[in-house]
Amino acid sequence: MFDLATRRIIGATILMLATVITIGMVWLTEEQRMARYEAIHKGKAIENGALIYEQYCSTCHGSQGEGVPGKGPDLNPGVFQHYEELKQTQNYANSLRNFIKLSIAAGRPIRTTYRSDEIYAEPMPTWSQDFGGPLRPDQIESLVEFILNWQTAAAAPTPTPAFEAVGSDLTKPLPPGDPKRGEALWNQEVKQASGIPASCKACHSLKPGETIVGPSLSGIATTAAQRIQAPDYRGQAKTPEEYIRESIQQPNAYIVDPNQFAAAPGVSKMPATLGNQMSAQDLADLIAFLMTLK
Amino acid sequence: MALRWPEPIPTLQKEVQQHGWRRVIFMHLDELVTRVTAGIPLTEVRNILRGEPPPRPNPRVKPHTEGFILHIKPSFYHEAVTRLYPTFRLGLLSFYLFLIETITGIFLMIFYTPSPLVAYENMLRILNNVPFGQLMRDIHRLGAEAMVVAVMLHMLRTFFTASYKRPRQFTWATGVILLVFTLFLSFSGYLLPWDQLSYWAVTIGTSMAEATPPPALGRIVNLILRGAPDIGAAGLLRFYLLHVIFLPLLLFFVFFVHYYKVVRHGLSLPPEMEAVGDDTARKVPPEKRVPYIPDIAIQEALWGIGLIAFLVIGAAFFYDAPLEQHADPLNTPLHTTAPWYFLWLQGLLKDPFLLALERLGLPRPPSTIYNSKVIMGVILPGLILFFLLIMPYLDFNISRRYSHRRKALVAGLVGVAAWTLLTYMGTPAFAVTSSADVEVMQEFIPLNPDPLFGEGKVRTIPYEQLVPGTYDTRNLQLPADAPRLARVLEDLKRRIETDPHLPQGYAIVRISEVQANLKRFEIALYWLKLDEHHQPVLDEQGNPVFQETKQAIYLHRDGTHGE
Ligand code: HEM
Repeated sequence: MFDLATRRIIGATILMLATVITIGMVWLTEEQRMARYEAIHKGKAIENGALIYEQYCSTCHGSQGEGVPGKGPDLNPGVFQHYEELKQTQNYANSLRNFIKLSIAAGRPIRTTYRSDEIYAEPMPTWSQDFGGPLRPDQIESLVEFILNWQTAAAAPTPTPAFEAVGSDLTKPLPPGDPKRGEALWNQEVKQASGIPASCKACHSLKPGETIVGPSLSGIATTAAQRIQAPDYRGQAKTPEEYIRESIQQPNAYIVDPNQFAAAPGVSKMPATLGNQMSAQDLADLIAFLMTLK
Repeated sequence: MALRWPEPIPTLQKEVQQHGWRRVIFMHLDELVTRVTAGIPLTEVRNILRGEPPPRPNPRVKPHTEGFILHIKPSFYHEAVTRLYPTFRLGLLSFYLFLIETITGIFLMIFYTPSPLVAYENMLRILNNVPFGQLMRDIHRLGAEAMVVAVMLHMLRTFFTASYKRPRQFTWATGVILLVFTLFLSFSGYLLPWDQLSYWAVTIGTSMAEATPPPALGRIVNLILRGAPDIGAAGLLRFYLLHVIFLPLLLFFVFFVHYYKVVRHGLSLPPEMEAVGDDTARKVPPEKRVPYIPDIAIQEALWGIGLIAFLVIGAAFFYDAPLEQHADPLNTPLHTTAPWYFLWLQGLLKDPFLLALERLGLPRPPSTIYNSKVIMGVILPGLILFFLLIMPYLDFNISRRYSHRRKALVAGLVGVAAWTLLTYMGTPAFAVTSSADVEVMQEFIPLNPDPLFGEGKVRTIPYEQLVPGTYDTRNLQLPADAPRLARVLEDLKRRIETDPHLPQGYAIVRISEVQANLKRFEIALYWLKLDEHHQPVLDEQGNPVFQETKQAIYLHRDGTHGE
């Protein structure tokens, strides 16, 4: 039909076209392909993480992450809530992923109470080979993927209830306070409107003279009345109630002993964001409770 | 005396005045083409494209003397070697593949660091974050396999066409060295992804080095190769350097020795064309000459185009380079194998000699005299290699005719058959000795994929069909809308009940959903415990005792399954 040269030209043209078209097709679908590969790999990482979890972690944290009394706290949804708390109360600045990764890799240096008063028999060991543990970095990574996958299901652990936070606004009118509920808030028996337990007692003792991070609040009603009279007092409070309110909502307005309680010049060690977790009622109740401490 | 240009100096303006601008453009273009093609003027290029015969003297041979690349190529071939037979272009293809491997390899090098800490992660990056990364990797891997195949076939063809005989013995010997380099090049690259597959395949492969006698030497060889008693960071770096610098450079060098010999002696003619004992490859009568430019050059370009099309299309649609889990020195996968071209060695290590003795009911020789690993793993392969190297010098049959070489041809075929048999013996399909329960787990829910069962049968079940529940193979209650699950469970039941090593065997399968999009698949296997007289072992109450093995895997919706 065709002579040799023509056949060769046709053949070579077809082959080259096929090659170019194939490369074009690969090009067009490359984004999708890479995304798909990533999804598959993530799926596999979760599978691996699940196996490692079953082997190493479930004895202390429970096979479903429900925790084991005396050995380890729940992770599902505990770890997500704990992270949110740290973020809100301690200005913890790392990402959730890194929080989990660091916790697994480096463990805990000491025994900790973890969101409850339960003390566990042993501190969490270090798991990464970097810190003398048994797991390779990619295995830690897989575990993190597995743990994060609980969040997919728990979809925002305990959805934050809609509420109006008092923030740092000192002018917002407060309802009458209930000292009983204030005390319950202090003891974390009830939660603030945000669903987060009040964290005051983590830093403030009620025993006279005991300093945890902040000063003891024993007798704060009396102390507050003296403070507003003090010559170096710079805040705007006119009454003890207002003084307490100001201390909670704007801890930097006046720092009692900057040498001891300032994190930086003019910045109190007490987080300035506590008002974001509480409603006007929460604040009023807490103040009412503190005003009973004469 | 000052050097003087002839007057008047030809300026562009004067040239145009003299010849007209059309002619001047043509002259300069002609000059350009002549320089670029190392000697072929524009008019001649046109003649070539028109398929016209060359003038005399022939300007088309100029590039063979003027140009670097073509100076190693003959300027004409004997017409008899320009068809598919006798060369099948296998040597050419081997060289092309080497070039393609170099190019794709450099692309991959950009994204790869030879450290156990990041190598595997780099591979993932290449696959999920580098545009064309997967294509390049697949081409590189497919090309590597193809190169091994091409080189092996090339060797077979030079054997069967008796092209290794006088005067081409040395060509053959350099070829054997090229074969060895090609195999090691491929093998050294095998380790680099640092996944379970590569790690253990190379562990198996290098474990032979350790058997080098005497033991002290074996230890040293092993240390030199792996950089430590086991493969780790040092071993990976060594293999990387072997793979990207040392072996390619050596191969490139030896290739030119090889090819120089090929050209010096000329491509051997088909055996039946020459008188016995003659070698007329270099005495090509003028009417039999096929010029390199353009005929052979076009042929070679066509083969190149075909090869690239094969690799690109193959890699894009039909071939995926494997990447398994991260290498784990503490977790040996079942059924680990060396790469396929070293399976024959693995087959040798299963020791056909001892197996034969066993079949015949003869006693084993004492291991002090007969150390299987040393003999089958080092000495015999070494002898085979040495024999291949010197084989042409030992062949005193001067005839290349097929009909005069019956013994050699039969020996060649027997060699190929033995290689195939040993390769089969190297696969896990032959004489694997793990216990029956482990085999069942591997077949259905392997923790590492293997060449025999792949990713296991359970992974063929689509995610939706993994209906949570407990299934007992003694009394299978199958969910209605999960045909694939039903098929696998029935398969499991049959597999257990027909296994003579699992008397009264049954399995309890538990499927549970543990997280969003994550299910756990557990097989608990039970079978009767037998004593040495094959009688059931009974407990105090007189009930038969069952043995148990449990294994579980997790399946994520996005993990590969149901495909
Ligand atoms: C990287 C590996 C190799 C490359 C790139 C290579 C390349 C070539 C090339 C381009 C030719 C020209 C003829 C043809 O295409 O068939 C050739 C010829 C030859 N090769 Fe190789 N070769 C390789 C390996 C081997 C091996 C493993 C052997 C045998 C053990 C071998 C033995 C020969 C012989 C004997 C010839 C001469 C053939 C003749 O004159 O007809 N080569 N080689």
